[in-house]
Amino acid sequence: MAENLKMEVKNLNFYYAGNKLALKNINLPIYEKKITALIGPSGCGKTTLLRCFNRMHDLYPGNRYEGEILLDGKNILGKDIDLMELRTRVGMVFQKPTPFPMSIFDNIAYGLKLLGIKNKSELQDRIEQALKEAALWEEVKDRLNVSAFSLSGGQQQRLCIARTIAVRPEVILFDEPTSALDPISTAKIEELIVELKKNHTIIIVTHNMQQAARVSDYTAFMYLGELIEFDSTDIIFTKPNKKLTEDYISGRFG
Amino acid sequence: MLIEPRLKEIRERLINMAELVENMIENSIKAIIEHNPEYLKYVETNEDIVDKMEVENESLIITTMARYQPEAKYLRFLVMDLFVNRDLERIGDHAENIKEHAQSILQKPKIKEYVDLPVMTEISIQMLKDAIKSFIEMDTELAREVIKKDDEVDLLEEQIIRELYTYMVEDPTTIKVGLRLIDVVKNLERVADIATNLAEEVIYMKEGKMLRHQELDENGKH
Repeated sequence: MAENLKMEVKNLNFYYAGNKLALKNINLPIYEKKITALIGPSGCGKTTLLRCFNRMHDLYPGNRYEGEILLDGKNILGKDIDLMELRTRVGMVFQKPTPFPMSIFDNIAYGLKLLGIKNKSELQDRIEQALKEAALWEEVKDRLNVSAFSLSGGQQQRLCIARTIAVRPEVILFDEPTSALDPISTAKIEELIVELKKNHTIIIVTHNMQQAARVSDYTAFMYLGELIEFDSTDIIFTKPNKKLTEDYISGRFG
Repeated sequence: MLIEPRLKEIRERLINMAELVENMIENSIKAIIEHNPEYLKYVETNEDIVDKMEVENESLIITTMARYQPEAKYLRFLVMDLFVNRDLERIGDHAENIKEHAQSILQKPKIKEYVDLPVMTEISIQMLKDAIKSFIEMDTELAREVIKKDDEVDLLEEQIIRELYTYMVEDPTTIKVGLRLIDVVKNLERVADIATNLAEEVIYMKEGKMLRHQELDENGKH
């Protein structure tokens, strides 16, 4: 199958402040408009790797990258990278819903205003579109001006997804997006993530192996800071090549 | 549910495969009845395709089980799909067997006009069609109709074989073709059997329990 590369991790080492090596020589392709899941036991480096894709680690001093991560062929670890622009192109949704303490409308308008969109009708259109794409519009269209905190946990997470997609990122990073949600809300978010791949490239970290199996096209299994195996999700969950992967998938450790 | 598009895809593949094997059986017998080897080409072209379909479908079903961890009705559906996939492939094998016998039969003149064979074929194919329909629509009434028809096919099988015996006893030169025809009829009867099994599986599936064990329970045994 012919896939287009959207991002590519090449010989990546990552050190947390204090020189602790957290990622060891990672090489990984990220295919365009596909969902790639990063799985592995706690401490394997999956979240650390996810946070490299939009350089979230730069928020803390002393963290250091070696190697390259290409976005459309350009190394995003270079010094000349505009981080604001990078994070617009590579959006992120976190583990716990993180709505801003403002109205539903303003939560989404926030990022758009930062992008310089001030025209009221354009703002309204973009917000409506984002809420529709996040499958939240029907539930909130009559109360856009109430506080985002009045929403349920699942709705708050969908609001965060709407906020992320409103600025039209090319890649969306999901960091365990359903770990704080009940099963029904989880199913909704999973369906939404699969829907979003029509227009976005998606990378998702999950400690829930079945979630990776359900939503992803490709799966990367990590262990102790190394990438052990990367393949199509069909292969990883039926006949993985490495024994370590098989042991993890079949619940022998982790 | 994320699993639903996958289930739909599997069902569509099975429907295509069912149509193919139905046509293979129909063509293989038609070649004999109309004494025309042209019909065997259809079987030849498709026999490898059916084998390939079986392998692909099985892999898709297993991958779906691994990825979506189906429960309750989804699990029963997928298990059923696995049975149906294998059953359809076997029907393809029977078409292949009939084709091989036909190739030999067609080298000799007809020993008689076929009267019961077309009837038996029609009933068997209808059973197969109805079994597949009952599976797609989960129609247990239709499935029960299929099971009832199996006796008709068994009777026709006996009748045809008995008649062939009389031909072979009267004229030993018909033995070679006669024995081949008996094999054809037995293969056809197996197709009807598979249709019956399919129909029984539909009933098990819809009611969510195995009839066999139910009977045991009624007798107070396990």
